[in-house]
Amino acid sequence: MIAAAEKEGQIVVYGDPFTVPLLLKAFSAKYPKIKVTSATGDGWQIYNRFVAENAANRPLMDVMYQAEDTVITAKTSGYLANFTSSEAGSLTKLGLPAGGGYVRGNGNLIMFAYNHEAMAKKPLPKDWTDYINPPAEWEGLGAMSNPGSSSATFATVAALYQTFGAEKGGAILKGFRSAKGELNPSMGVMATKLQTGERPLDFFNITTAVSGIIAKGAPVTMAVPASGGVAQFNAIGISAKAPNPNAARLLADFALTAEMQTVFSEAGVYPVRTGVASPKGLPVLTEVKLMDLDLEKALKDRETILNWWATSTGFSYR
Amino acid sequence: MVLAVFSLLPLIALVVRGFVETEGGRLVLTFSAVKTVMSQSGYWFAAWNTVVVSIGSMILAAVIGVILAWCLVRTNVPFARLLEQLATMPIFIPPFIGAFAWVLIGAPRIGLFNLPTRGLGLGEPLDIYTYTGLIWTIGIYIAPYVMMIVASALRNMDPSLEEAAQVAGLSRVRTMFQITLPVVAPSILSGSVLAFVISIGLFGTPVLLGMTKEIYLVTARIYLELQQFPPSFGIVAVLAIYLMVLSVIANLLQSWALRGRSFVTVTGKGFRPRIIQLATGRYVVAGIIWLYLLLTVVGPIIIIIAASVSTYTWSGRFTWNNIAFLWESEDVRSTLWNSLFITILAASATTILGLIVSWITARTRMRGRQFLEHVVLLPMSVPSLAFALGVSFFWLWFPWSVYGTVWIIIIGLIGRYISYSVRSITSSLIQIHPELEESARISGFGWGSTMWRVTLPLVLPAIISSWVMVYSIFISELSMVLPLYTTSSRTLSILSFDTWAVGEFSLVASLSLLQLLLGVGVMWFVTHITKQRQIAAT
Repeated sequence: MIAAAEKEGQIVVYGDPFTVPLLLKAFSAKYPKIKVTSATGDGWQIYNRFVAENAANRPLMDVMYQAEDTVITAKTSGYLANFTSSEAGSLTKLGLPAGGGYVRGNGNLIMFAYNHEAMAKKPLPKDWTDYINPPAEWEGLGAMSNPGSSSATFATVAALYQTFGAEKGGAILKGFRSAKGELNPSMGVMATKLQTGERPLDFFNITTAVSGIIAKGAPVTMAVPASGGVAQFNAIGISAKAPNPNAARLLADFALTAEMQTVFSEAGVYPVRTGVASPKGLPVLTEVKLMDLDLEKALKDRETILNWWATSTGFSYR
Repeated sequence: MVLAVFSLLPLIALVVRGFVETEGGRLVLTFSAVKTVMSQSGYWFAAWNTVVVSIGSMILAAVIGVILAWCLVRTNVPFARLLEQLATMPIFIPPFIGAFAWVLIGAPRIGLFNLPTRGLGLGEPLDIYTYTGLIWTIGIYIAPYVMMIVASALRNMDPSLEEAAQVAGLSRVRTMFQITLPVVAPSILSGSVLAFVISIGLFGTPVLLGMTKEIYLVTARIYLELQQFPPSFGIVAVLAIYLMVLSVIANLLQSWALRGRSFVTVTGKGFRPRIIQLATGRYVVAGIIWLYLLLTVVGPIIIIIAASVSTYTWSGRFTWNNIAFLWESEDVRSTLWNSLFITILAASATTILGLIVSWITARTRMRGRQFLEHVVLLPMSVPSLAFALGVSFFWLWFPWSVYGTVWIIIIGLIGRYISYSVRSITSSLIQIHPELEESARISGFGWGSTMWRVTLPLVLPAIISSWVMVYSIFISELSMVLPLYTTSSRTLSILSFDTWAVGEFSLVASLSLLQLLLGVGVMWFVTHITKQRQIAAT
């Protein structure tokens, strides 16, 4: 396969701005004869670009490496080739989605995040249900992002919907808003406000956005809610019209090797391969209590869930 | 033809793409997007917010820009040249970085301005997440555009008009209000309309500051729409049309205000710009300008520097790692090269095309020249993000394509921003009486010689000003590049945005410093070369 991939000589990857650069750097070092091109950014924005290119019959992308909801959508829309990795036998059960057709490349954990200096004399959230009647001290401290645009936020809101139901889950969201929680454009913005203490109590945040500032010594703590956090994955799909199918498979398999999974772990994202440790300073993913999340079902109910979120919080998602 | 491909067709592609939907593999005409936008109050509020914030920002930018230009060009304020260069620096700061700097200054809980007042029990008087905060942040960052255009006009103004007024007994203040300001009115109006149009097209600042308190502007709505699935390009197109209508209204008002009036101030008579001697008052004026610079330039830059050498923002612990990242990272090296290549090429092409269009519309009777002007000005009204989508749609469907290459970004930038050059150069060109060119032609000069030896030297300040202006936009341009780039054409602004998206604000700050240096360095270089040429000419 290496010879065939090198004969193709290039590959185009679309995806996540945090992990894709890590992947491409390592891949280019190992396979210097294959020229790598990529476009990274917000999941749906990149996905829409991919769809527009296909609609114009000008497919450029070979590999999609981004939030799982976008990859599932691409799969169900018929844009992806059926892909089974040769590394599948070495993956944890979290690495292999039930439906197949694609694989997961790495995991992220979504949980509570707060600035422990700014919150030193204030009560801290222990569970999602604490937000149903939030303490007065939380007023004006909380932040969340938009599930209409952020895949990680959608996964979390969907998990709340599926775990607690529309009524209780809605009460949690209403409580967050009643404490004057604000809506931020992205989790990166929330992480910046978290470290400065401007908004020291994130309703939730993701390990990729926060682990970096924790490693630099920011007074930020991430805590798993009693009812569970949310595991969110970046998935790997290969385009049905991939101009460089062999290079695509080579890269997809390479992402799952022990070598690459270790790089991911050292950068603060969760590996999906057995025998590779979780990132330092973060809880072990397989040992963390997680809320149940059926992402495929959530995507079918996407409109309902987004409207439920908008009604409960009073925020607009578009 | 070139302008049609660069400026008009992407807009047509955007609008057409918005009014068609795919049904069963066929494209069908639909008005569902118009109905959605017209029937939902959120979109109306966004339009209203856009009008309020943009007019407020325009007024602030015009007031600051005109005062700065007049003080720096026409008075003996100390270190005028240095102050003028410093006053242009806000345009080299990417808008979302400038907005972030102002968050760190004016956010209620942690803003540096609010910390002392909070400590004294006086509460938190400054809140950047308000209409006023939005108007302030946008206004101060677009004021230099007005200043550059007005300063260029003031340099080209024949001072004999003011001298005549003073001989007739008018005071300096009355001379300024009754002679100087009316004479440079086209430039003020041109700068103000430019400020308005930039303001309605900004998306970084409204997203960062407005969304926090749910003050959505049209661009923030477009930004949200583009992140949705399934995307509604129809709604994006209708919202873009909203902005186009606003821009067309502003341009029509400008044309109506200037109709039938002559603004020629540079004639065949020689002149030297007149400097008003302010005596000791010049130090007071300098102090006020320095205070403005402290609030708008020095303060935010110090904050960005502090953030770039902090382990994390406001840690109180410092490191050189974020600065070393600038020369150690391969990403920075490759994106730096792309940014310079794209920016220099696009800025030069934009200025040359802008000069040609200005000359055709101001100096010829060519049929369709007014249509040409409208074609060029139309993209001004469309936010960069929406225009870039139009560019991508058009080139995706075009048989031979630059899609996916560095050239699509350059073409997009030229098409979107040629109007800026046209505005800047035209406002200077209409001040120059054709008698100068006619005299040259009578003296035996050909068209080329007249252009080269008479017209171009006279509009050179405006040409340079135009080049610096578009260079400054391109070097930090984010929203135009976002839908069009690939790894091989990734720019510094995209690298900053990706870094920002993962919460590494200290690295973003160091990247902003690099962009600032690129902007200021080139501005200094261009100014230095111009000065050398002027010295050589005398």
